[in-house]
Amino acid sequence: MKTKLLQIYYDMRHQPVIAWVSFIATALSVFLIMVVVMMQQVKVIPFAPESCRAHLLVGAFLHTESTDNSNNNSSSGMSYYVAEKLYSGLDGVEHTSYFSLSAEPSDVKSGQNEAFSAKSRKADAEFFRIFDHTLVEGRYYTKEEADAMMPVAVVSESTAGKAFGGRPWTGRQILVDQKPYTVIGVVRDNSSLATTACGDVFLPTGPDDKSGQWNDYMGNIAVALLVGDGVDFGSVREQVKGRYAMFDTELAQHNLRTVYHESPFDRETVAGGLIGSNVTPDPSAERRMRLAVYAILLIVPAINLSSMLHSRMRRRISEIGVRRAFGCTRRRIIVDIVAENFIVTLAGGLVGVIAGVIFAATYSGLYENMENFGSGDTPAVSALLSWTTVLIALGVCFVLNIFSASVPAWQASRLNPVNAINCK
Amino acid sequence: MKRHLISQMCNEWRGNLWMIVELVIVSCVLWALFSFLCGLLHVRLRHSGYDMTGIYVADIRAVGKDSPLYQPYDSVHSYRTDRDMLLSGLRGNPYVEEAGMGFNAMPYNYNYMGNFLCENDSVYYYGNLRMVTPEIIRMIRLEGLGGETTEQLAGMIERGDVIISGLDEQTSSVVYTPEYFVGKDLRFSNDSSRVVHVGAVAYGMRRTDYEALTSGVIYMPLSDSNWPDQIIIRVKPGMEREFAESLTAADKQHGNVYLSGMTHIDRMRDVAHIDINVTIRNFVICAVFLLLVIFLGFLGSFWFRTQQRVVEIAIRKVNGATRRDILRRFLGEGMLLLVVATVPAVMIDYAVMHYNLFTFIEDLGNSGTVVYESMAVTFVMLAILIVAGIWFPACKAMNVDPVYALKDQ
Repeated sequence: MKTKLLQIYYDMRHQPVIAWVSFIATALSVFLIMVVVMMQQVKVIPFAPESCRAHLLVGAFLHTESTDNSNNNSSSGMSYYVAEKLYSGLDGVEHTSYFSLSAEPSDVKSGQNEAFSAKSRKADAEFFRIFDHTLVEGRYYTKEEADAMMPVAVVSESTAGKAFGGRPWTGRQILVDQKPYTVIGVVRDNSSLATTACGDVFLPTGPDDKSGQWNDYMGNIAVALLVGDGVDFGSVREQVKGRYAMFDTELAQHNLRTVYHESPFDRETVAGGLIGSNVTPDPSAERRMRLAVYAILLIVPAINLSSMLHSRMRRRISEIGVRRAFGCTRRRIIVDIVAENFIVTLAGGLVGVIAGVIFAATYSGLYENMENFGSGDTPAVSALLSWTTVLIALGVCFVLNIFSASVPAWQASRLNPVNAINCK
Repeated sequence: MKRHLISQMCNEWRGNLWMIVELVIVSCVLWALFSFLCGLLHVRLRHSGYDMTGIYVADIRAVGKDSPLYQPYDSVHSYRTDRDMLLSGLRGNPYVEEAGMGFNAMPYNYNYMGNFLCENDSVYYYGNLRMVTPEIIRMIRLEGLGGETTEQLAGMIERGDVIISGLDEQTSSVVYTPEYFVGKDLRFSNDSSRVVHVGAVAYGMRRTDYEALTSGVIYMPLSDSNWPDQIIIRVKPGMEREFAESLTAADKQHGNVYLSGMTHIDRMRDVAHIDINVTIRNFVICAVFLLLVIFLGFLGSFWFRTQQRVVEIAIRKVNGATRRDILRRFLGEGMLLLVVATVPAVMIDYAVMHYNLFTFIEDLGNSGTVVYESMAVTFVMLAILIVAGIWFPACKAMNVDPVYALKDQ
């Protein structure tokens, strides 16, 4: 090991430009790959209040089309009625929650204070059993309160602070879009990166809530399904598909039928973006695109590094010739060159990973979308640094090393000792 | 000289092959990225036919009867009268040029309220329904495609006509051009009891500045039976800050009707464009990274080559080569590599186009010129980075002193 480190040190001293260019190219490549990896990870790894992501399915949207020639084609969120019809009581599902899919900006006001804008979300009582919003004061609303749409609210810490100032917060009244609610619970502030569960104000919704209902079937309701351990998502989808078929018999009287778009969706699909209520999301296309990005970010620098390593090897032709003359095997030459390169790649990779983590933890623009625009939210470093991240980083370095070092190492091992010593 | 250059490059075929392979890959990837970016630029630079400067938008909301703030109405007053009072109050603001109401009337909102007008069961015009008052047509300075002025279009909306939009391109699903419907009485949404008269064809309001209009837009008068979702205000030129500061709580509420989320159109544009802007940013970063890799690659390789070829350079200088000749030779090597790499790269680009592997290029509704423009941009960018990468090693080579370089010979 010591010999290899010395070898790298002398190599860097004798060919500083090429050595540093190789090092920077490696660091840059690993940096970019890790940023792309972490951007994707933040969308799928579990963190509060969406610690359940691995077991979560989201049922969203209803798309209907006419069965006659009236060209009627509608798609939107669901009404509570339709959401219950399609998703309630599914086998293998432990908890089912009905809630509004997006948190909408609302005017919040208390007493004589100036109104301010906060993101509000309608949700039933089960919502708090699926998503781990941690209480700091009071309690969540009950199923009875939600079903009856009692004027109670659960708000985030910062919203309560903005509305009332100091504690206690519970038992006090706020106006949300000019409607009075009593704050019964205060939860910890949550990140807008938790796109399904985030919000500043949570208001009860129940089967009789007509406020977010456009007609009998369409509205703004979505469904969160917490699937039990070991339950296949496909089996849940099959059940929902069956419900769609049953629902078609009801729609037939209006000359309508449903168009099924593979709902409920897993976290990867939701993270890829539910681009429209009348479109079947395609997470595999997103995955292919991501793989293509990884491949390009790996292959192009690898060719570059390989070319530079090839040049560096030409400087070491006589050294290789001498080693071969003294009985060093071809295999040993290959292993040594690949190992030396791996150490340099690891060092460059380490710099790349550290820079990547710092960048991903501080630059909120990486995670910006229409829902969290301007929030400036970034994930915690603990969420970014996991064993998966470390393994991916190591894997990237290994692949980069194999891609870049294998051909020059093989070529070096094929040198004829006599010609090599003569530097031919 | 050129033949010597080619022979010399053939002698270094191994190192050059790596660089050509690298250039081919990078060239193809950059072409795809630039095609996307150039396509977006084409859409963005199209004449929109409406003007959104100085526009503010606010949601119109009503206090429900279940709120303690609800003020009961007598027989004369209603939500409608409150709404009209709120609007006339805003019109009285000294910084306001015009104010109006609409439903789905503004861009930068992804809602697609699709509907259609039909002459009979097979002749349709399909489009995004935007319900507007004449003031909105004036505010956004909508232009007619047949030369109609904004005032003429506003007049049409005032007398109850609908205006339809032109399309960016005629897709196979569009059988009749928008102009065909002008002056005709059409059924709205296949409802024979609702017949509308098409007044003119105007520019279509896109949902975002990057959207190509592949289906139309129907501007329909906002009738009394339609409750608007937004109040739209155009502020006098350069008076945005004064207007925002002049707004009081009383301006935003009258009786049981109030305005929520008064937002400048620029902010709405930023929000609506965030996803595409993030994509653009990621593509640009990717392009910069690849160009940087090419730069570093050429820098490293040519640095090594100058070290290896010190003697050769010295002999050239002894034989009368100037510093410029040396520089030209190194740059020539780089350019030749790029030209050689461009041939297979262009062939791959054509294959990608032929088999439509990158659907986004077609999705943007681009003209064929975009792909050629992006090929040219790719070549120029790579050429610049190659010259930059070779420049420093070439300068080093230019400074070789033949006396020292040849002392061992």
